[in-house]
Amino acid sequence: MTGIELERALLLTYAGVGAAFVVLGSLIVYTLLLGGMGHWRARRLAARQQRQLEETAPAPPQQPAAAAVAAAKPLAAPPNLEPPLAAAIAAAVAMAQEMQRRERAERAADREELPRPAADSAGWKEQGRIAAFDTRRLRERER
Amino acid sequence: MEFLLESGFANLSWGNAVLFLLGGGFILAAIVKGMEPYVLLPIGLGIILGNLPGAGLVDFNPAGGEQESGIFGIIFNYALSSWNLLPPLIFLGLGALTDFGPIIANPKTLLLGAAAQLGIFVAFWLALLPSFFAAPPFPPFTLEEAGVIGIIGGADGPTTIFAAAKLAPDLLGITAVVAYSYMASVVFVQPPLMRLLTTRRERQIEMKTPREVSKAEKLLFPAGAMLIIILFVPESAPLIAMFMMGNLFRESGVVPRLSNAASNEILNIATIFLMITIGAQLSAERVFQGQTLAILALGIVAFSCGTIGGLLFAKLLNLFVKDKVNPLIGSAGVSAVPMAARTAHNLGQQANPGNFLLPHAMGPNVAGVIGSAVVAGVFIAILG
Repeated sequence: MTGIELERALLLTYAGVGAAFVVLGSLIVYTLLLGGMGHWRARRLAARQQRQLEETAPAPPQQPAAAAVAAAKPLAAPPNLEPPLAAAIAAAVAMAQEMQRRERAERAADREELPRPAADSAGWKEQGRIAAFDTRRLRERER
Repeated sequence: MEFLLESGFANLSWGNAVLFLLGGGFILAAIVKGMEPYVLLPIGLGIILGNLPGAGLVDFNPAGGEQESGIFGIIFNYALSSWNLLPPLIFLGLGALTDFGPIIANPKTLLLGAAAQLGIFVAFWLALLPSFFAAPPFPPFTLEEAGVIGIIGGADGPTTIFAAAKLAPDLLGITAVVAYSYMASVVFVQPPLMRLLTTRRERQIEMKTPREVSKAEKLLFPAGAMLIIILFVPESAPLIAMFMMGNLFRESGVVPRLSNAASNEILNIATIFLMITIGAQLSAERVFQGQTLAILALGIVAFSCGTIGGLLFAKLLNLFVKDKVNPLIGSAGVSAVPMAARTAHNLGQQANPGNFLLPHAMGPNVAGVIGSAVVAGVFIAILG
């Protein structure tokens, strides 16, 4: 083997090993950038969905404390009605108010349970899908 | 009498007979043992057909026109040695079958694919070793031939054929057969080395489930990777461009017919012609030489060193990363898709039945394909 051939063989080795690591290393950087972009998009998507959810959700009652007090104590029957009828109406109103209160509590819990994006949690697409699912469920309940 | 003397029986040599046995062995291994049937069956048939005396199936006589050439001679000349058409077509099909998800989810496994190319360089230098002696046991290999022998260590058949057709067409048949034979025997060659170089505790390491990869990432990866690799090593363009194009067909989801054609019809047609033709190149005159036996030995050394490189690099990686890597997946860095990944998975499950390494091992496995194509591109750029 001549000196020139030896030089070429050494060059091949350095260039080959170098190229393999440099090219695959560049692909790692590129892939990490893609992944980072994915997380950033996931955060943006989740934030937008959260905003939409807050906008579409019904406004909270003006005087929640008063409503709660009203719901807590049974309504007094109007004074000009017979006692059994007045008691039945009061019971029906109390039941309706209780149902409404429960529904509001469930809605509030649903809103709180919405997934928040986290850097190392599931993929952004998965989070988006969960948020979309929750929004749909909420709308169905409202209907 | 003249008719009898011209018949194949009269011209049969012992070398032909031995190769009939070798071809028959390949066919048996494919049919009875189910070992890489898509590779070994056509190669075995090619070996037998190429060694039929007087048939002239591998003859190529450009002066006398195509009518005086054999079918395998024409395919070899036009589809391999002159135009090198079949390996890129195979890469198109492989791309359409490949899922880059594991690599995108865990990009550090790309480094294992680079480390497993160690075998290429060890075999390259070992092939050059005889040329340092005053009286070598067989004619020493040239730099180009040594490069092609080294590429066997990448355990990637189409890349070996691509490099051989460009750098040393005379070695194409034997290097391709050696590469595919060792790829088919991954299940025998790799496990002893994997057990030797890893502890039971290391083999038991359970890796975190890879994250879900978005469609946008799967679409952008092949497109960007194609540009990056080809800009670094332009000579790898025929293989890498076809590989990534096939993958884009698959991931786009809008051209299912093209994706199916690439992964079925085109891949199958290319496989038939490629395997039968390289099998037919194994003539008795070429096989029974000191150089051929040396290539067989160097091939196994290259393959083993590639496996060792991947394993040791995975162990090295574990010193620096928080989420430990099971070193077994390093051995999948030698391409041999998907046999090497399956072997890593099986060994992992033997050590820990709850271990599911297949998706993790596919990362270095595919990285190995890219790595060997890159190294072949560098060899062609410098030696071609």
